[in-house]
Amino acid sequence: MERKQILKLVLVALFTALITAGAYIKIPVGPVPVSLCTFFVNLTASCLPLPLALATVLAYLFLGIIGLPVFTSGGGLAALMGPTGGYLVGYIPSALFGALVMKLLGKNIRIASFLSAVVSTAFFYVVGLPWLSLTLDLPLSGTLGAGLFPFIFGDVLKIIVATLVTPSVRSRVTELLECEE
Amino acid sequence: MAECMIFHYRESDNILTRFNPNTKLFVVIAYSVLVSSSTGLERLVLSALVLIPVLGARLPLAKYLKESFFFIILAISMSLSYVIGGRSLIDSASYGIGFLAIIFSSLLLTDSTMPEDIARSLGLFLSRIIGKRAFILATLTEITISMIPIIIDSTLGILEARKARLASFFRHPVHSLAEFTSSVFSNLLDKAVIYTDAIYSRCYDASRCIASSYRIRDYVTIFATIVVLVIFFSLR
Repeated sequence: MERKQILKLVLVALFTALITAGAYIKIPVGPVPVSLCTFFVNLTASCLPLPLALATVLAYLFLGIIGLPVFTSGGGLAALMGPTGGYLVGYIPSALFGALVMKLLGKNIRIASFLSAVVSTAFFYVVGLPWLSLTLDLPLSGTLGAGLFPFIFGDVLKIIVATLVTPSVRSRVTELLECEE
Repeated sequence: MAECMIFHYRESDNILTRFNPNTKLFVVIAYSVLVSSSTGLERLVLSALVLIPVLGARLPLAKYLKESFFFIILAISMSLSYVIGGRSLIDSASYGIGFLAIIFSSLLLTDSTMPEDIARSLGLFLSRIIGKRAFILATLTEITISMIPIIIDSTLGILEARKARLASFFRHPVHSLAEFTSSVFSNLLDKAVIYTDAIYSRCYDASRCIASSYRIRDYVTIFATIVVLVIFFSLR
């Protein structure tokens, strides 16, 4: 196996492990807890190339589906099908579009990092909120009250920190991957 | 380091260590589905079943409870939030205890199975469906699990370094957080390179097939679990 392939595998594993660690740092607020998972998904999207970012979130979901307690709500298919399942499924478009923004606007790293974090965050809710509403049979106000409003302050903070951190981490990751070319 | 890890294998000789990892994984998934699909008193009874292998194999229950302290606090907060939300006491308690039972069953799996074994046997099982990529997925799982202690180690190291230079999070909170995160990532990427070199130098092949065998007890357990699942869902 080539060194570059191993490096890619290790990077995917590292970011998957970070998202897993993020799931354990959580504050239970109603049916959807506040966790650091979304922050690490933001960073995965903005720091890794698109295929690796996508592989990372898929690997994370795979670990959860096979039963390892890597989600904020435990592990297994039951956790994925629960009220927070939509947010977890939302990690896929989140990583995909966040990484795509970085690829398209990568020259202006600060703006790209900011937009990538915003787009990633938006996709958690685009998938998560309708799912939450369906599983708990909540009206629009209830869905927003349980699944969006408590997280706005935290998300703004995560976006700011992700925007500040991305340039240095992304350049290091790019440097590592280009060294192998 | 092992003591502060939730996913770590303890070398021992008991009935749980003798099962094929896939069998244990299947039972844990089935158990999680059963607990999550039940409610109230039914969930409480199912949650108590996790104690059978612990007591049967004379596993260190007190040690498990000590290590699960974080999850116990989470379970209590979950139950409290349900009580505040107007649910009955039994219902609220069952959510917290059910959550703990699922965590506990996963603990039993990881404590009695080497992460490498579980990843490889899962790879072997999936290779019949997706071919050699299954072994790469298994390797990825294996490396991910081994990365968790590295992350904790790095984070603690950076925190110690910040403490040593009397850096405060409260002076410029956002800037400090960003600086801290950058330092952790920089350290982790350095370790990722060292890890890559270590693997590469051993001529590691992620797509290599490593066999793992099933015995009669595995087939019996899988069959019994399927029967329990069918009965449970047909009764509902």
